[in-house]
Amino acid sequence: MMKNIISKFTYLVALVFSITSCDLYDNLDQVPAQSLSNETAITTPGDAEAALLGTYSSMNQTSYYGRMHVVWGPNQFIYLGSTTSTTRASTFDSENNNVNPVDNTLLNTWDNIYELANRATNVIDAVPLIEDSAPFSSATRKNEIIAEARFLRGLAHFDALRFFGRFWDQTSDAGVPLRIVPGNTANAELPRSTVAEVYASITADLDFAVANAPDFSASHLVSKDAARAIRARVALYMEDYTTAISLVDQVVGNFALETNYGDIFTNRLGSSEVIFGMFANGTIEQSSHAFFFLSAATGGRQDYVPTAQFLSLISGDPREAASVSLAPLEVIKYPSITAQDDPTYIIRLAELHFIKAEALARQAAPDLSAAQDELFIVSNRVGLLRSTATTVAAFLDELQSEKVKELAFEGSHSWFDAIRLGNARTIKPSITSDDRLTLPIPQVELDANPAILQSDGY
Amino acid sequence: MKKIFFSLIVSFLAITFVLAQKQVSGRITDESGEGLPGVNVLIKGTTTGTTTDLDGNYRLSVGEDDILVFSFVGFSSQEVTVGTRSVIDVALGGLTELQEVVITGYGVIQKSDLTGSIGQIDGDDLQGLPVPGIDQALQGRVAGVNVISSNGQPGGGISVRVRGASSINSNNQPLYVIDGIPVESFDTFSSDLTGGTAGQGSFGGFGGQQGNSLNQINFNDVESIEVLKDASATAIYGSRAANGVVLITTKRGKTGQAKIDVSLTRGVSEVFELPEVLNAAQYRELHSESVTNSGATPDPTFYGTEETDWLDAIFRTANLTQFNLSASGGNDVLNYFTSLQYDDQEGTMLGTSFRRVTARVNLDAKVSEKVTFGTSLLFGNTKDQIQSGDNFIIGPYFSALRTRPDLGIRNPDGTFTGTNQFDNAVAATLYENIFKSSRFLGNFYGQYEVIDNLTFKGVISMDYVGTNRELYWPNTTLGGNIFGNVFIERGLDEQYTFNNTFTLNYQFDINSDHRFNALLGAEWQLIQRDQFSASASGLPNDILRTLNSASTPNNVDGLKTAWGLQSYFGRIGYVYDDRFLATATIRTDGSSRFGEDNQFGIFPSVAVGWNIMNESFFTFENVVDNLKLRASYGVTGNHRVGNFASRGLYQGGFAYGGNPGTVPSQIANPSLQWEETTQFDVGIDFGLFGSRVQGAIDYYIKTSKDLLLLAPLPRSSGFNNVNRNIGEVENKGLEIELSGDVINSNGFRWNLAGNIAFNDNEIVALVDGNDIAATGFGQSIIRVGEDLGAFLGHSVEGIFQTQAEIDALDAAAPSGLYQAPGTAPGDFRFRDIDGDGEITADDRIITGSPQADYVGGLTSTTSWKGISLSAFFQFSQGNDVISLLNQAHLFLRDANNVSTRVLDRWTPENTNGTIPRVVQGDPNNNRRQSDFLVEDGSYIRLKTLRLAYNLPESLLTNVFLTNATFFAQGTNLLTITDYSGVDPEINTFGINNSSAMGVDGSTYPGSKTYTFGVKLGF
Repeated sequence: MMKNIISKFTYLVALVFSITSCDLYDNLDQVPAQSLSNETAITTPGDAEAALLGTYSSMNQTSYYGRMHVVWGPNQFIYLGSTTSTTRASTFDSENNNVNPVDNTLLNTWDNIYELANRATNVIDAVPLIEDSAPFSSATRKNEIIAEARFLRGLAHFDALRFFGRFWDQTSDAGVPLRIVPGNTANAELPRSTVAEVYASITADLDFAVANAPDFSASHLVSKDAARAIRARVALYMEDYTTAISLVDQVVGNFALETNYGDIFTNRLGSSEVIFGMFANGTIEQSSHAFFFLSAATGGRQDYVPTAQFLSLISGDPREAASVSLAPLEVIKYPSITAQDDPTYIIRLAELHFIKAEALARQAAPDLSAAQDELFIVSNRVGLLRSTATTVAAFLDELQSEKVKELAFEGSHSWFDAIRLGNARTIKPSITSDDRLTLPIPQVELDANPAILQSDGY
Repeated sequence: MKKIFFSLIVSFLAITFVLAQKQVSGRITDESGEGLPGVNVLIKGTTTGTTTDLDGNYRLSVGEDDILVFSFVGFSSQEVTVGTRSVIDVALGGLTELQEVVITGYGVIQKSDLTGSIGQIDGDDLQGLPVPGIDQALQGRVAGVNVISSNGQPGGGISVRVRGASSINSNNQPLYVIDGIPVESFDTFSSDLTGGTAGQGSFGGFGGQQGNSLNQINFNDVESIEVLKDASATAIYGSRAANGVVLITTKRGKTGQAKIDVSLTRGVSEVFELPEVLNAAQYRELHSESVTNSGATPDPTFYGTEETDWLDAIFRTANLTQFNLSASGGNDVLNYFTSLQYDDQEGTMLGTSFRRVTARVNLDAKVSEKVTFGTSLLFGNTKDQIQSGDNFIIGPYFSALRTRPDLGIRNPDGTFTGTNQFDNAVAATLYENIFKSSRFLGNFYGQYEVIDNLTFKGVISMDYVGTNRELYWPNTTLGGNIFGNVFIERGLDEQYTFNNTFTLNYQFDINSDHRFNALLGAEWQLIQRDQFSASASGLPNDILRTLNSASTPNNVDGLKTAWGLQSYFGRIGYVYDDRFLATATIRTDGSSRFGEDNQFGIFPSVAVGWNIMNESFFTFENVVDNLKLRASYGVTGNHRVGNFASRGLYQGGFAYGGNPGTVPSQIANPSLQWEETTQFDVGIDFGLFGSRVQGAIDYYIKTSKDLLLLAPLPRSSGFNNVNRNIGEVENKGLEIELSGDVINSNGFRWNLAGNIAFNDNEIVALVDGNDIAATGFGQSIIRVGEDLGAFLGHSVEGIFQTQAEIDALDAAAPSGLYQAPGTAPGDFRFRDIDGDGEITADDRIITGSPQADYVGGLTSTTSWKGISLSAFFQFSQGNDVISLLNQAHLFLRDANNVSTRVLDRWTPENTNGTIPRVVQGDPNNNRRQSDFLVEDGSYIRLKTLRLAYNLPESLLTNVFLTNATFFAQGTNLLTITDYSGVDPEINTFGINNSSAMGVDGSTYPGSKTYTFGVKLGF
């Protein structure tokens, strides 16, 4: 009897151990159900595609391509004014080129750019380790994913450089940090790289994308042409006119200008001239352009309003009606206040013609006539006459103002162009120092990163 | 072999027993001669025996050589050799204090051998308390245990702190161990899996309202509660013990006749005295004045002609009913305890209630001398109906305090009046936020005595807590309206805890001078939590309330998580000559939560004790019957961080081009580890005059380091911050417990028991020494050198009397402005702390601390001939309260109503007014965080007053009753405090968050409760 009980007891204990052993006794190896471990997050072709989409998704944030990318430039320059809604944060004095390093929008812009760079870097780092035999959708897909990620990282670093570094001076030390290894606690403190180093990294990334990205299929995805187009823009910034012209020539044939200027903003990412843009569909991927540009009467909050300088520039131009409304006064390139699915136009064909025109005019042996032909492709669409400038300088002035009108509120082109062409402070004399042509590094970054130096003059 | 030998002996004894059989009888009494029913009478070395009847009589067949063992819980056992006697009467003496046992982690110990600091509560003291939670019942009972209710919601979350708060970001609640099963308390209303403070609901929360996962425990089932305080006692629970451990032991059946207890309690609650607000006439006067002061002209058509007392409209006299039935008993083989409880409490605020049904079965089966099986099974079901509170825009109390008195409750067309800012208070009580929680907490144990005094025990348990969330927001509410036609949400939150514990316990003596007690154990725990919720709007009418009736889906969400703990532990206790005591414990915990580099942690403790009264040189035995010195040192941990806080993670929820993507969401910190608390404790236990006076004094220093804080990262890393072990907090304190009979003669007894605990809390280190903002509205700060959650604000210097005063300050200010552009006479003048001539954020100082200097309780019990009167006071001294309600309620600056204290506002005629001028918009920002909002929150409260009458036994025998008690009880009858708010015992930011304490939002106030009851024993 006793022995029986004991053996039953032992048996029971053994039973309990055995039936629960798989879960309970291996309890230290828990796997998060709603997250993936970073070591295993990118191990299959499917993972790689998902992580690439996650990388793309970081463009769509309100302080980056979701809004501020098209606001910072014209607001720091002379084309976009702030309203009382904008200036509710006293630290956001972008209009007077006096942004306080503690400003939140500034911090978010910095964050968003480096989030994109870090996410891209994680993909670039992990995807090559996936077995070549793994079932990618095509033999070249693995390299395409890396190429798309490198394009996005190059774009992020280019944006960081333009907003926070002295991008116009290739001899300057005041570049920006390069997030080219996945962020971890050991490598978190990055110093500024020099401007030349940043350009070298950007061009390496974009050149890889030009060689390996997929052919153009849809404008919200990275393609060889998108890589060539952005690379051409970078070449222009680097004053490498030969490269710029050559890249533009490889792309222009694949796209066509809309006949009506206004059709760009109704066809949106489906437009025949959009080469690359940020996707929005109004669900998870909302864009907030309309909310911040449209007046209360149209349902928006209107943080930003076109300035008198812009209105006088665009007045009478055929592109005026598609760009701004006068009553109520507002930017109307992003009208989707209800669906919130306006895209952001990152690069379209018209800009490539401007790039080539400028390169032709500024190359070692300027070809003014060819430059004027190139510009005329864009201005002819809206029925303007061919440039009659007789000097390169006069032509460049004309080009600069045409570009403002053509690409108004589609990015920060006007601001960066004026800085590159050296007339930002002439056009806006209240800027008393070149230091104010860059934004300050956010205070939060400075506090946490002893390796980084604040922008001069802040 | 040994077992066979044993069986032989048993058989032999049985044979002997049969041969030499004779009848013996007798009566067992206590020392006063009262018959003791249910006493075990056992022939030594056998399982043969009986128990005494109601009068204490027994009858048994025995042999002459047999030894009878008489034993009864709470009394010293006695052994008597039968010999030739046929009648054996025995008077059992009560146990002395020192012979009593104390429950410790994974075992019991005789009190005289104890080296740790453990507070005890007898389950009898908890009977009939009109509070839902067992944690609430701890209040004031044990020195060093500070219990704070969050608000007056019956069944709401409770904050329990053992020896101060030791963590900054993590949960500071103690670990609860119910019948050996470690159980975490958590917020059943929350969907936040990391144990933070957020509530849920599509509006973002219920404004500080939190659910209490311990509510399913019926404390009428509780035999005793032990609070483990020092490291010697807690370290055996390792990584979960830094906040103290509360052991809850439920009642078990005792051998003897069946015992049936029935009790019924009914009562009513009334809310504490509420703040007085302006009536309609006063409102019209002051509001017009404020409009005039802002430079505009009052609009007479703005004012209504009604007169509504909004507070009166949402509070009621609430009913309370508790019914409890228990049956227990057993024989030599099987003992049982079963109980059923029904508890129904209305809240004093409309639309709030608590209902509970619990059932318990505890069984112990002694299948042989050496083998015992048993089980403890609890099924509990609670239903909480809550309303939002605490500065939350749809909270009824917040709304009632602020809604204009010149408006009626309803418009002529029957719809509710109100603004689009917040709900009409009455309409706000119509939110149906219902949480139905079910808990199954069951364990099965088997115990086997391998050899004498070596016991193997296995406990296998499962704990399931499932909370069903049912929100229904009718169209008459703002919340229902915002989402379109009616808002509904359904959700389920399920938590499973599996726990297996195996222990080996061995007691041995080397010779009579050297006694040892050793424990070895292993434990595995796995916790899984799974939640989902779905919400929708657009319901056709009030009858259809299901998701499939809704026209518009709103949101779907779901979470899933798990963690595991693997532990090995041991303890050895050594007693030399009953004079010198030593205990050493060690536990190693491995947790799935921590980084690879620190997955296992080791938590040791050592303690020594000296029973001075057993020394030969000690010559005061006639006065002092217990004197023991104790000292302990040890390490414990706090494991409450996110389940995957150390990992590098990717997460979903992102998309591009309409396709889902993943992104890196958390940076890895493989060296992340537990928060670690080292505690040093010295104590003295004493008993005087034959244990008539007993007490204990303890001093401790508790240093908690490696506190988990989110350290900022350079954003160029792609991340915002990382979990790091950086912070350090120190708690030092003194605890005194004292109890004694003041009078004990002629059947009249007056006993006084009190405890007091002094605790000094200080933050020693933070990330780079930087301040951390605590939860809330900037009222509290976490700053090195200060108390945790100290209040931060400006200092009010006075009220400006003339414009010249303001002009002079402006003229001297570098920017030409001292304070604010609209400052005028009647506004506060804030103190320029840094002397730069201007009031800026740098002029804020620490304006107070929510940490009390000391807290404690005092119980007075008098009894005479079946009548007993007990009063229990609880007190807290030196804690400040900051009233966020006053921020809205003392400054008339918009259309909302304010306190009658504003009648004493500054005007050119009333220049001594204590409240600044009334002015629309408050241009001077008089309401900013300042010392004006901070008050002394010290209080002493008569927590319970209970009068009970036990019917004399002579009346009971004819009606088959063993006892009958009638009682009347009042709770929270009296509070003495200088605090101007409703209740100083508040905690807007809830149970878990320790960093923002002593904050009085518009918190649902507590209540006074009057109950009457009867308890019958059969």
